[in-house]
Amino acid sequence: MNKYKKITLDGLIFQNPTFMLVLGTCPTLALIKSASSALGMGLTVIMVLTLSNVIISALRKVIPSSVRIPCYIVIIATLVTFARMLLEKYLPDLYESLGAFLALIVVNCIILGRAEAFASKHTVAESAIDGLANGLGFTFALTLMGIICEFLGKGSLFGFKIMSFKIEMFATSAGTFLVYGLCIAVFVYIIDGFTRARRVKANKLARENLLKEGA
Amino acid sequence: MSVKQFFKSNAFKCIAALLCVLLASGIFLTIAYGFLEVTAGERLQRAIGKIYAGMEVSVYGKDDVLITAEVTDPKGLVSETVTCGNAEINDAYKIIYTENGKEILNYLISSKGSGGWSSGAVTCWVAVISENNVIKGIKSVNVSDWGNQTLSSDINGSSLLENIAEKYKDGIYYDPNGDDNFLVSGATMSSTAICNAVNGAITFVKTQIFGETETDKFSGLKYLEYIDTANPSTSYSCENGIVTYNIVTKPNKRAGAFTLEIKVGAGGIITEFIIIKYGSTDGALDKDEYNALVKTDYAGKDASYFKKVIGENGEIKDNSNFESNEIQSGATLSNYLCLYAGLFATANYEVCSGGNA
Repeated sequence: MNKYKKITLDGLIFQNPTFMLVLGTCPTLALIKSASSALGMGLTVIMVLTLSNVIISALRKVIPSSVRIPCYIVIIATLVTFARMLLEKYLPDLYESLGAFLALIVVNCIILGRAEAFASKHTVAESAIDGLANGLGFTFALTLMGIICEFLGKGSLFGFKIMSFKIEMFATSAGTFLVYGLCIAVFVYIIDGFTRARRVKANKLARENLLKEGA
Repeated sequence: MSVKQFFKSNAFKCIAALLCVLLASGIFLTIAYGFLEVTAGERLQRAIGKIYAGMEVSVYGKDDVLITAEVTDPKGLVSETVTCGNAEINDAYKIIYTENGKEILNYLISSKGSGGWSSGAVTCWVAVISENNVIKGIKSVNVSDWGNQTLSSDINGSSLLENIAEKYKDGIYYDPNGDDNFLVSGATMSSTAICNAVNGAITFVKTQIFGETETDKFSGLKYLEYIDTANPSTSYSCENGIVTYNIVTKPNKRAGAFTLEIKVGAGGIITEFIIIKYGSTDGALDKDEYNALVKTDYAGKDASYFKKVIGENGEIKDNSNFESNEIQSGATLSNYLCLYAGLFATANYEVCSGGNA
């Protein structure tokens, strides 16, 4: 159980693909101008990442090591094409707003990175959890920044007008870049503080144990 | 290596694994496409839902047949793709709806405009308002396929699409190369493709539905491949033996369209070469530097100079044959457009001046 908890926390927080590993930057910068586009992209990535991790993990003993990368790319491209078909059929507005970035999920570093670094070495269940956790981490990061950019840049949230005041720069690429940088700084600061506190607590416990043993 | 050894080798296993993955993917996507294909009827209903939201509309196709929502493959007014200027018309329907008690006729055109980023195209549904066989304006423009224009999300959230309807009054054409404020900054080439799609839709309604004939002022001229003859700003006039060309070029891969003013005098020699709008989006020079370059390099030159640099028919499209002082490295695609426009202007001088050379 502890193993699954660690995989989940790593994907969501400690190795968050967007804030900690800074992967998948192109779609992040392009789509966080709008919260709904960011959420839509995140949900699509969750689906593709989880399924690709499961399939690649299931086939890890069948695919020869020397052709594993081309095979992974074909599997990921197939899943992305399937996701595009689904969105075009049932969510055409989201399909249009994601534009070319939907097809570009194929070359998203997070997906190929998790396939190579995790799914190809772990069981199907572990890979599924890893895909889901990383996807959720990516979605959380994108949606959070999407909310900030849309609120400040357009005065709205998920397309609903909240206020008339707006700073248009935040609806531009420069604004999204700024928000992305600031979010990384804040996230890393919080995680660093948390990790440091945990380390201090562990050291204190170890010292107390040593003292007890000495006594 | 024997056949038996080959089948036992790692190479065979690799080939077999790759082929199996490819085959399984292909079969899966083929089946999925069967279930998830978006039919022509669905696309039409989506466009109608967006453009005529909340209205009761009657849609008519070929031979004035009423098209209902259940039709999966509606037969429109176009049976084969028609090229109109810088756009391809894929389909067209007649729409009738009532507004303020008055019956209004629209033509809903699916138009694919070229001239987008990296020579891409954008497909739009254009609703053209018509009355007594006269175009009264554009009701709305709705993009149905962005054609891999990477900055499409910028246009989606902009007021460009609403502005287009206001810009096109009484069926006049709009020059996408002429007004920067109209286009979306950072996505100007994708915006240009949308403008071309709308221009194409207007031409289609005028020529194919109303039966108007448009005189081709460029017939008989040579070197038209990179000249945007469908653009309303491309023209020429002759006064006192001086032919003034106002040229909008077509885009050349990453280099966007240039707007140029070229004056050609006796003997087909260039007297003035000015860049009005600089098309290069990632070139090594800015507009003023580029203008200075072409002013000194092209003035006083005739067709033989341009033919020497880019070939008899403008066929040398890379910089392999350009001399260093004739081409600016890092802006090769833009240079080609300027050289081609120079060739067009000088080689056609006799025809454009009415044979008074």
